[in-house]
Amino acid sequence: MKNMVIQVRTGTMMNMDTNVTVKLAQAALDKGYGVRIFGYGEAVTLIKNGQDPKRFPNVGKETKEMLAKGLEIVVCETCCKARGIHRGEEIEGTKIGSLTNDLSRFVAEGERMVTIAR
Amino acid sequence: MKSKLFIMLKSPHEFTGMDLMKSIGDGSNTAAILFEDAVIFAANAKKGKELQSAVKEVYVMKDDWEARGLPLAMPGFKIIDYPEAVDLIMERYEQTITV
Repeated sequence: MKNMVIQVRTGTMMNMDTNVTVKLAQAALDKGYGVRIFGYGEAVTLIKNGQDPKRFPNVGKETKEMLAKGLEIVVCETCCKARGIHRGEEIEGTKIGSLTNDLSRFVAEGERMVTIAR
Repeated sequence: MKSKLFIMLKSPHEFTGMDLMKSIGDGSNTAAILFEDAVIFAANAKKGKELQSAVKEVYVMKDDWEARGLPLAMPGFKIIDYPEAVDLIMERYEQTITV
């Protein structure tokens, strides 16, 4: 199976970057590709459990739905610590990981990498 | 030389990477996908022509295009959906570069 790797660096509800990330991931999963997302910087908010936006798409909910389709999503531990997000606060099935162990594996095993960042 | 697909997110009014695109895309098969405010390139003939001179094909994300209700000033630009974007990224081009 070919893998698409998406590196995202923007937080949820800052602009539409995480929505683009989710829509691209959904379309790739629906076409039978493997999808791995790595969240860095503000994008660690992607995996925060309990997201409840009132006027924006709920990317946390969409992320949960994609996990069932095989999505793998990891965010940077150092970026989480900096923002006070700790293990146990992530959506079940997502991972607080690292650039060296996880992003490097994603890149090594991925056919294409898409960066969503400004 | 590998074919390249540029991912564009910024409006033409804040985008500064055109020279970089021309430089790294020179001599290879190149295209750009316009996401978010980058779809404004398709509504602005002057900026759209600049972009057209930098890459061989330009694709516009339908969702972002329709959300802004803008006129299409660049009829050569192709409106696409997410499944088509996945095809471009995974099969048609060998590299993606976000600018």
